[in-house]
This record gives sequence, C-alpha cells and structure tokens, in this order.
Amino acid sequence: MLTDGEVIDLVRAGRRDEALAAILPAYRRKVFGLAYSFLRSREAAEDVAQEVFIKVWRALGEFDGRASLSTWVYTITRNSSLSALRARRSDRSLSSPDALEEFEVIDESASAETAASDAALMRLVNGLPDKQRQVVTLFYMQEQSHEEVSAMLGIPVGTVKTLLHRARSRLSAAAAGAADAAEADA
Amino acid sequence: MKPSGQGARPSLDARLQSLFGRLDTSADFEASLLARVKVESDAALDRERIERARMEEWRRYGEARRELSWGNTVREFWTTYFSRWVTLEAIGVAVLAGFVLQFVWSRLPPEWTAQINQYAPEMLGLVGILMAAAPLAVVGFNRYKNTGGLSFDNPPV
Repeated sequence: MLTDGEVIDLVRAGRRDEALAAILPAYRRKVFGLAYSFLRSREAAEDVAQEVFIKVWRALGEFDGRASLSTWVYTITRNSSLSALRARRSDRSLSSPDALEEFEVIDESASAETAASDAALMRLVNGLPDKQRQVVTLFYMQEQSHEEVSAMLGIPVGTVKTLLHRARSRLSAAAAGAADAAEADA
Repeated sequence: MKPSGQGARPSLDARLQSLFGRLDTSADFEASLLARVKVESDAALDRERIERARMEEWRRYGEARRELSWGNTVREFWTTYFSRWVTLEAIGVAVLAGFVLQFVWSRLPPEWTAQINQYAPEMLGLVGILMAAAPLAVVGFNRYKNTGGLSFDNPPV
C-alpha cells in the first residue's frame, strides 16, 4: 500500500488514475463497510462507495497531506452516506415505506438453521441504537481495531469501546432471552 | 484488537464475526469503478481540449481585433508615411522651399502680403485639414475593403 506522500507524488506527476488504483484495494472494503453501517443496504452502500471513490479521484489534486488520506476518505464517506440516507428517507416519505434490507448479509447457501439463527442475530443488531449498531458492524466486519473504527466513525477510541461493550451486553441479554423463550415454547 | 470474550461472548463474537466478516462489495466493483473513472477522465480531457481551443480562438480574435482597430491602422499608416516621406532629401527640399518662400515673400507688394496675412489662419487651417483628412479617408477605404465591412465590436458567442 502506498504512503500518503507517495499518493501525493503520483497525483503531482499527473497520474491520478494510478493513485486511485493504488489506494482502492486498501480502502474498498472499509469505505463500503462504513457506508453499509449507515445505510444498512448492500446495494446503496456500494453505490455510495462508488461515489466516494469518484469524489476522491476528482479531488485528489487538492489533497495536500495536511490530514491523513484515511481521515479524508472516511470524512467523504460519512458525508456521502448521510446525504444518501437523507435522500432515501425523503424518497420513502413519498412512497410506501419498505423495510430495511436487514437480512441481506445472510449467507444464502447456509443451512436453514444457520440462516434462521443469523437472521435472528441480524434482527437483534438492527434493534440496537444507531451508533452501537455501526460500531458492531464495523468492528466485526474485518476484525478491526478500536482505533480503526474510531477513525472511520470520527469518534474517540474510548467511545468506541463503551459503545461496543454496551452493544455486546444488549446482544448477549437479548440472545439469552430469545433462547429462553425458544426453550419455553418447546 | 481482535474480539475476545469470556463465557457466552466467544459464541456471540464468532457469530457476529461470521455475519459481518463476509460483507463485501460485489466482484465487479473495482472494474466498474475504474471504467467510470476512465469515462470521467476522458470527458475531462475533452472538456480541457475544448476549453483550450476556445481560449486559443479568443486570443486570435483579440489579436485580429487589435490589428484591425482604428488606432492600430492609423498608427501603422503614420509610421509608414513618416518612414516613406520624412527622409533626408525631403527635409532638404522642405528647407529649400522655406528659403524660396521667404525670398518670394520679401519681394511681394505690401498690399498683397497684407491681404494674405488677413486670410492666413483660414488658409493654414484648410491646408491642415486636407493634409490630415486625405490620408485618413484612404486608410478608411482600405480597411473597409480588407474586412468586407465586418464589425468587430461584438465578441464571438
């Protein structure tokens, strides 16, 4: 992966396309994950990720390295995701409300039991407050560090740890409650 | 830091890891993105080329306008005029003519010189106007003939 300085050098040499191709593997999944954590839709997140990289490509000439490349890319991603979220909400207010595509991360090739278990867990995650849900999504998406999640969401590391701890507690409690209910039904 | 835990947590961690760990873009994400960038890049190059051509056209237009302006035409005419007529011979002829005039003037009858003196300002003015207007009329005619009567007052759209 190129350093920020090397990216700037490529851009200054008029090789913007190469600079983008070089940063793409390192940021593709992160940008997509961050967008997904806001939008909860794979398709919408992919659209936003494309837009983000196009914006990055267009603005690479203005990137001067004062902020790190990752901070810059994550900021663009957050702003684009929020814009997409606002646009989607206003679209929904004009048409019939549809449920979020909350089961789209579930592996279709998995057994029925696993799929049901994943769907139940996904429902629990989607029931979390927004920030907790985002932290959980990003943290587990790539076994990311607290520091990376903190950089992606632009919040302090301590806050990430607190949100993750609360989310895990909620999820554990909810999962235990669901298991008890299932046993009682049986 | 990797997820870790105690008691029920490893199971939850593992399930969350399994659930979100496979989240990724579609296989053709990079290819379609790079194709979009290529399209944008080509469009930007086209825009740049068009803009450069427009600027070049505007520069040539300005140059032509300056070349064909009245000020420039008159300046050019006078430069040519002076370089062609104000020569050493012309100056010699003018000095000689001055002496001849002085000689003739001193020998004219006094009533003639009094009469000439009376109308001298008008006569000199008329000669001056003729000397200035005749070349300007020629310049104007030539300029109209060269441009076919085109107006250069409005910039191109």
